[in-house]
Amino acid sequence: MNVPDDQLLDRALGAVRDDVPDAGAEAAAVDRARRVLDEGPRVIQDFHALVPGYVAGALSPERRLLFEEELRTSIPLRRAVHAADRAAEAPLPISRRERRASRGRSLWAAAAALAAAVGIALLSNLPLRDQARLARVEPAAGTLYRVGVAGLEALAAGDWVAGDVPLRTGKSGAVRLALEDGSAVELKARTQLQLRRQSGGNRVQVDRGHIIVQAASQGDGRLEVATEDVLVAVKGTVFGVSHGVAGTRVAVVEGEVEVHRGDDRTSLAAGEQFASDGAAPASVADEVAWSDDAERYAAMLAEYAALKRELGSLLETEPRHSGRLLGLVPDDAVGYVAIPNAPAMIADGYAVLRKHFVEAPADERVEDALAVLGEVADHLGEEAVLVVREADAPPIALAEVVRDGLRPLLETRVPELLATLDLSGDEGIEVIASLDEAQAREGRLLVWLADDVLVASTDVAALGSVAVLMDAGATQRFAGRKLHAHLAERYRRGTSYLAGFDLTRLGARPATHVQPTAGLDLAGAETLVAEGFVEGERTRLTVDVRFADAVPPALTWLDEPGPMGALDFFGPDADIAAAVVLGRPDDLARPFEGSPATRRLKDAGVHDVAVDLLGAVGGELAFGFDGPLLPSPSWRAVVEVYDQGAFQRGVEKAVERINARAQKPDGGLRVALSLDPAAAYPIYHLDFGLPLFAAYYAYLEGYLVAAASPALIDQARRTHASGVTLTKSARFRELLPNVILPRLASRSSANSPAVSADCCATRRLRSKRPCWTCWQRQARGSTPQPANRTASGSPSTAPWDFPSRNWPYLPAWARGTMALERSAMGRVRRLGGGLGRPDDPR
Amino acid sequence: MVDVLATLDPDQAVRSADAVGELFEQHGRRVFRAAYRIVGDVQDAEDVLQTVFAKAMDRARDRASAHVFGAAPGSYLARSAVNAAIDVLRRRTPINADDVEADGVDEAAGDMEDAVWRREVRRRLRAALAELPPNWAEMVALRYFEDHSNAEVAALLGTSASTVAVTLHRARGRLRAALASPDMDEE
Repeated sequence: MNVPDDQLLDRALGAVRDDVPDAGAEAAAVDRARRVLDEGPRVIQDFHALVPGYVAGALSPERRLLFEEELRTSIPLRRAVHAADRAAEAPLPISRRERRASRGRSLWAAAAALAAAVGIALLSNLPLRDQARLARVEPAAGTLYRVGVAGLEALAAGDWVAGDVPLRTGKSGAVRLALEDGSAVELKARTQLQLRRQSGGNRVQVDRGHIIVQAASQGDGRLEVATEDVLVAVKGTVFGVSHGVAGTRVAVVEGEVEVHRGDDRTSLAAGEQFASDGAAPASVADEVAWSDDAERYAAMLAEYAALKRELGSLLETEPRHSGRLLGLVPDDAVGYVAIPNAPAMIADGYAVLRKHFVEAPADERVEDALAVLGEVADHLGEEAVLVVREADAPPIALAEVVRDGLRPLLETRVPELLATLDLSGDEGIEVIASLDEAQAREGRLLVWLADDVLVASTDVAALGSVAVLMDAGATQRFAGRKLHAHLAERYRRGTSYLAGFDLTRLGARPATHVQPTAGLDLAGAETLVAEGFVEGERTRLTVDVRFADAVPPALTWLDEPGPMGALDFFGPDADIAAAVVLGRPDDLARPFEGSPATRRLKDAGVHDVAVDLLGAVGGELAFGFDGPLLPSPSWRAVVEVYDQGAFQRGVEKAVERINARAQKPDGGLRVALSLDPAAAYPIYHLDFGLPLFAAYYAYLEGYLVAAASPALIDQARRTHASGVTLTKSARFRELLPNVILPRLASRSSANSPAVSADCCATRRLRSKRPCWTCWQRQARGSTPQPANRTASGSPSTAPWDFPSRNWPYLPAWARGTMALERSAMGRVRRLGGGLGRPDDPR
Repeated sequence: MVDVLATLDPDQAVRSADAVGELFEQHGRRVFRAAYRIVGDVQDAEDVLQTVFAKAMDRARDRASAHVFGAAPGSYLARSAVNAAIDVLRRRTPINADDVEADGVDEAAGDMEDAVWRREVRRRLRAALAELPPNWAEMVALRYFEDHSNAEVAALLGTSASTVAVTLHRARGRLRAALASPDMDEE
């Protein structure tokens, strides 16, 4: 350590700490801020209070003129007007709880409530008092004019431009503005715009013409580009906006932007574009071809295409035939997951990203983590295996070691890294060379380097059971199990991504317990084996469920075939979608009663909340990916919810309990629940404080729709409203030859003892509504639905080849759905998976 | 159709404004000073102050996060100020980085040479702060400008004291490197 430098730093820190503003200036500034705070809501609410009158056409001409002037620039006000319009057309559905609370409340009050809420949301983007020196004119071929009452005034390179002043470019040549936040705006000839400094970030209002924005990182704020019909919000990216009488086009060269149009939001990634009504689509490259930096942008787009290819190729691996690690699986295994050398894939993936985005700000912790992962990967063989064990036994990780030097790496770099990432836990990890060392370190994550195999677990006994199997001539009892046979069969054929579970033992209680059901009650299903292959731009995934000899009883969780409204929140280009219809969702908890997972939930104080949540949901569950997979996967989950109020109360209670627990010494995850202030309807944000993961949800049409961003929820809402959905796609239907659409899950009605006409009377229901099963029966009439059967009556895996044009980043994902196939003849049942991407030019 | 009424309360906005008004009375100056230490400019600090309380209003409106300010709203607001100020600092570069310290606070300090040195070192440190990852800069500001202990910073940021210590160690390394130059050393 350099002591003089350290002293210098301490003095510098002290100089800043002791830096106080002039008392008079401070008092004046605080007073001004207080006035803005006091006046902001009033001014905004004044306009929003006029919304009902405006919608009813009751404003005086003068007020109407003023209102429409504000309406032109205020997106929240426009939303409030749209909401009031809709409210006037049809009454909003009101939950029972809210109906009680709002009895006597007029529609006017409802509109005022909405207006007030929206108005406050606007506060975070108020224009600032200081609009001076917002951007500086940079040297360029074109001329920029300031538009004033006296006419046009030409600006020279180096001149400062203030906010709220119309700026116009000349008839030829582009102009570039450097904004104070580090962003740059390039204006094509014959473009007019205004800049504005706001509390939440700068705004560029494009009146007409073409601009390209290179947005600097915006921290908590955002840069907005607005035209008369759309608003584009960004945090750091390169994109073009063209606006004219025919509408607006937004084209993204790098990063991601959100395009708001009325209540709708669309998320665009690099290479994608948006065109409002009337605007003719153009390629992204064409959209920015006029720029002085056109070549650079073209190179960026080409780079991005190359990135997609490289990321796709990362997932492509040679088939593995060696089942050596399978031979080390102990008898108490219930699950086996094998993937190609995972650290290498992660590290290589990051290396590819860094290669393509060298300018991207690097998080040193992530850099360090991936560097260590890369080093670890170099020492490991082609496969990594995770063994899931019975009951609450800790899992075991297995990998072959192909190079010396792994121990010092694990002993030094990995703990240091875990500490930096705050992941080291209480006990940390211990690298041992022999089992003798393990005994004294029980409870820690033990990494045993046994010759050329790495075995990791927190359970010493697990290491011992693996050690026994390493001896030549040892008998592996797991080898006698059906799961082993199915997995070994996959290795013989060559496998890539492989996972298998023994369903008869999964969730089983410890052997010391005597219990009527040993494992999960899955209608006689014995094993589930899933396998994935990436072959060029095709991905093939098969999921096989094998049953016992007897004809299986009905799957107790799945209900009779019924409409799958949840899938109507997925567009026809969804990459993956899986959905089930559950007869009684609260039965989901039953097989786990007394299980370690349930005990953990009870310990955490959220088990009763989880049961309450299950009691409030309906029967449909759907999950899928519908949109870009990078920079954050566009996942989406849809759950039918009967009692929205109860469900939301359950969520809030769960958040409270989790956070209360986080206060304790042993800590845990913290969760923050909030409403998205920018949304036109309630969108909740669950913030887990985790990097690269965010969860938002909203209640739409009797469903809870959850997704990675508010834009994706908007997209789901739009998809649902448009009617152009996954289940309506003829192509999608063609791809499901063995499933009677729209049934995506089924069970035999003849084997449904839980389903009876009076089931509601025996259920623990909080409302007088019929339970889902009864409701569905009523809705359908009493005619029983036939069980699904395959068309041919013979078992089939018939992998579906799904064309998908929506492959922007990882060509190795599948699009489709999962469905239960039944056979009248054979005993093998399969849960089919959809897959891959043939050479379809769509 | 969305059940808007299920989540909005017509009186919520008014109550939010009142609650945040009280917070402003109690903590407004502290927030302003926290921002000023980082941005070194009265006007920018005023903008930060407005931003922080506008966001506080948003949050207070949100029934689901009514307790978002926690038991120590002052600390919460100071943290918000630090974050918003760091954003200003990061946005400021490179165009108007030279504009900081324009208020002439040190001119009356008597010792002109010392005042000049202090101004320069503050300018450099703030510029270096802007170059740090935002969470690092936040930890530095909370630890050294707001005088929180490592444990308090960890509690505020929802992380462990050891992570704070490691991060501060790294951040100090960066800041030392940024400050190290002949004209700084001679003092």
